[in-house]
Amino acid sequence: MTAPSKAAGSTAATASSIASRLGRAFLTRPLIVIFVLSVILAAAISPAFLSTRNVFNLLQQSSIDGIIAIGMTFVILGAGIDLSVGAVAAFGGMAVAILVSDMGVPAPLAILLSVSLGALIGLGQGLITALTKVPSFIITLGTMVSIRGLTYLLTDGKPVFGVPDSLRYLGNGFVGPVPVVGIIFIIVTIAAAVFLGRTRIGRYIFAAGGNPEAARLSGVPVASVIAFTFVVSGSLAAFGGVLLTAWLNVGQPTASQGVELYAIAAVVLGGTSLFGGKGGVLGTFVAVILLTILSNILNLAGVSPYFQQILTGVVLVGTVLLNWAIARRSVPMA
Amino acid sequence: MDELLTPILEATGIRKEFPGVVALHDVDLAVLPGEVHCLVGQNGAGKSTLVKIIMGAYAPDAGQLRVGGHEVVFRSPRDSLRAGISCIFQELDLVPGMTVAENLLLADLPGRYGLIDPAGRDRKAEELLARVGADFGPATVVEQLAVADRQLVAIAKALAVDAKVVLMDEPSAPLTAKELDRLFTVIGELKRAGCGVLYISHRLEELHRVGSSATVLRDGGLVGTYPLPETPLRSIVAAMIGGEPETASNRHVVAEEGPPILDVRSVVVPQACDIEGVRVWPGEIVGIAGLVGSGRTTFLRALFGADRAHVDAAFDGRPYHPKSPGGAIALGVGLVPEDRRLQGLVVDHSVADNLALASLPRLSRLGFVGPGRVAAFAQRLVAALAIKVSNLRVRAGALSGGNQQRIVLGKWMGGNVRLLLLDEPTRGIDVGAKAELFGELRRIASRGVAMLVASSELDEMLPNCDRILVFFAGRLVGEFPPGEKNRTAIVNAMVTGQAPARTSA
Repeated sequence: MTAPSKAAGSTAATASSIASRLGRAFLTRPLIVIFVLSVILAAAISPAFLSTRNVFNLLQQSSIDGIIAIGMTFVILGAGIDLSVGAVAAFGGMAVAILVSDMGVPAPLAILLSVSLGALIGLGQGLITALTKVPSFIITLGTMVSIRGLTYLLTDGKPVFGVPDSLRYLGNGFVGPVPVVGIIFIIVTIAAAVFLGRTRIGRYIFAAGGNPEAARLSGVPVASVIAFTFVVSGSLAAFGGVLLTAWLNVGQPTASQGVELYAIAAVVLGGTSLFGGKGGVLGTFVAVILLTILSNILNLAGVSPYFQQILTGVVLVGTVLLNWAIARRSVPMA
Repeated sequence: MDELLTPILEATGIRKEFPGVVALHDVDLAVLPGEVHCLVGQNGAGKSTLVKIIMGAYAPDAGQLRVGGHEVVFRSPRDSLRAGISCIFQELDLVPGMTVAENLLLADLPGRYGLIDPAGRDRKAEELLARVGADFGPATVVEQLAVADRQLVAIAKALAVDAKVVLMDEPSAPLTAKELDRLFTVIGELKRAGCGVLYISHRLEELHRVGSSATVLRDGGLVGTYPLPETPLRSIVAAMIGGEPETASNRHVVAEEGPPILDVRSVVVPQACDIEGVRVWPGEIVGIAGLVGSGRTTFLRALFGADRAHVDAAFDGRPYHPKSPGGAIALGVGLVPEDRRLQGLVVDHSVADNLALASLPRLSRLGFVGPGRVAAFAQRLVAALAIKVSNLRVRAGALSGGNQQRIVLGKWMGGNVRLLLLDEPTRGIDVGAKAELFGELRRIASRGVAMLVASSELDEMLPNCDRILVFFAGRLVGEFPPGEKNRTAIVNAMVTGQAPARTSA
C-alpha cells in the first residue's frame, strides 16, 4: 500500500505548492487572481459561460468601451484625466454616420476623418493643459459638455440612419467565430502595450507622468508628450464611437453617456496609478473583460440590474483597496 | 550632563526590521530636558528609522520608549504629538495657503460656540512669534514666507502645543549663515524653556555650536553617546564611519590652454542673476560659492535651458543659446539638479529606466527602445560608477542618497557629455559618500569633461575644485584659486560681496 499513499502525499504536496503559488500570485497580481476566480465562479453557475459563443459575446460587449479605456490609460499614465471621451465618442459616431449616409463619403475615408477629428479635439485639450498647467480635469470637463452640445447640434438631436454594409461589418462582422470589434480591441491593446513599453515616446509618457520636472531636466519634451496622450485618447474615443455606430447601424447623439467614468474605473482597476507613471494597458484590458464578466455572471444568476450597479462599484473599490493594502505591506517606507 | 535628571525622552533596546534588513538593533537614546541632543550617522545608519519610531510612524519590533519617565506606545504620529513630541522636518508640515496664525493654532483654534475668535487667535499667535524672534505678523500667508521663516513658524507651532521634545531633521540644510544664527538662538530659547531637542544634521561642524551631546549610529547599531563640546569632531567622524576619514586633497591644476569649452559673456535672469565672464576649460572642476539666493542655481539652470533666461555664450566655439534642456543635452551639457528626488529621479521607476532616461534618443532605433539595449547600457553605468544595487529593476527611490546621486550623475555619463552642471551634488549625502563622489567627479573630469559645481559647503570645494567663483546677489564678485589659505577671502566675498581684484583667468 505504499504506492497509493505516496501518490496521495505528492498530491497533497502539489496542492500546497499550488496554494502557496496562488498566494504569491495574489500578492503580485491580485487582478489576475480575481479574474481567474470570476471565470471559475461563472463557469460553475452556468456551463454556458465557457461556450465559444458566450466567450466571444463577452469580447464583443467589452470591445468598444475597452478601446476607449485603452486611450484613457495613456492619459492617466501621464498623470492626467480625460473626462471628454464619452462626448468625443458620440461626436465621432455621429460624424462618421453623417459622412457616410448624408454625404456619401466612402467608409474608410469617413472613419479616418472622424478619428482625425477626435485626435484634433485631443490635441487641443492636450496642448491647453500641457502648456497652461491647468488641471486636465477642468479642461476636459469643459470639453465634455461642449462637444456633447456640438454633437446634438449636428442633427438637432436626431439620430442618423442609413449606415452602409461596409461600415456595419466593422461592428457586426465575424471572422470565423470571432467578432471583428473583438479583433480590433485586441490589436489596439497589443499595439498600445508595445508602444508604451518599447518606444521612446512610450517611455517618455511614463517618465513625464512619474516626475515631470525630472523628465524635463533629462531632455524629455514633457508638454508635447502630455499633449500626445490626449491625442491618443481623443482618437481612440472617436474610433470607439465609430465602432458603436457600426454596431448599432445608427449614429446616436446620446451615445456613450458616462463612458468616461467606466473607462477611468477600468484603468484604475487595471492597476494604473491615478498619480501617473505606473501601470499599463494590459491591466486595463483584463479589467475591462472582468467588468463584463461580472455583469454576465450577475445576468446569468438573474440578479437585478440595479443590484448589479451596486456590486460593480463594490468590486471596483474593493480591488483598488486590495492593491493599496498589498503595496503598503510589501514596500518598506524607509 | 546631570545624572540626576530624568530623560525627557528615552528609547531603550530599539529594534526594527524590514523585509530582508535589520534597520535598527539594540539602540538606546536619552534626551535630557534642556539639552540639544544630536543624532548623527551616515545615510543608512538608521537615523530616519529611529526618528520615525519616535514620532510614531513606525512601531518598533522590540524596545521601549519613555517620555518623562513613563512608558509610552505610539500607534500613530498623533499619539506621539499628544505625548509632547513635535517634529520639524525639511518639508515643513504647514498649509501654504493659510495664514501663520491659522497654521500655528490649527489643532487648537480659540473660540466660542464653535466659532473662531480671530482676535484671540492672532494675539496668541503673536506671542508665539515673539518667542521665536519672528519679524513677520500672524496674518502673513505662509506661502509668501521664505523657507527660513516657515521654519520659524514650525518651531513656533511646537511651542504652541507645549512640546516637551522637539525633533529637528536637517533644519539647517536650506538656511543661509545669518538665518542659521537665528535658528540657533531659537534653539537656545527652546533649551531655556526646558525642551529636549533632538537635532539631526549632516553638517557636522554645527554639532559643536549647538549640541550638548551626540549619539552616533552606524549600520543600524549604537556606536556611543559623546558629550559636547568635549569630544572633538574627528572622533565623532571616526565613530560614524568606523575609521579615519579620507582627507587627501583631490585637486589637480589644469593648465588653461586651448579654447574654453564654455565661454559665458553674460547670463541674465531679471531680478535673479546677471553673471558676466565665466569661462570653463575641458577637464576643469570649477566651484561656485555663494549664499542661498546668490544666483547659483538660477545661473546653472539658465545654462541648461531649464528656465527662461537671456544667455549670451559660446559652447565649444559656437554660439550657445539653450532654449530647452533637450537642446543643451544634444550638445553634451548635463545637469545634476539641486533636488535629487524632485528634479533628478523618477523615484518610482527602476534604476535602469532612470539611467536611460536622458539617453533614450540614442538607445532607440526608429523610435523603438530595445529593453536589452537599455539593460546593457544601465549595467555598464552601474559598474562604471560603482552604484550599489542588487539588480537594475530596483526602484531608484529605495536607494541611499549617495547611490541616488550616482544615478543622476550616471544619466549623463552614458552619452557624449562635455560639460556637467552640478547643483549641490553632495546635499543629504553622508561623509564617506561625499569624498567618494568628488573622487568620481575628478575621474570624470580627467577624461576631459568640464564641470561647474555649485555648493554651499566651502569645506568640500576648497580641496576639490580647481578654481572657485563667488556669486553674491546675482553677480560674480570674485574668482579664487582653491586652498585653505583663501578661505577667509572667499567667505568674506560670499557674505559681503567684496573681493580683492580678480586674479586673472
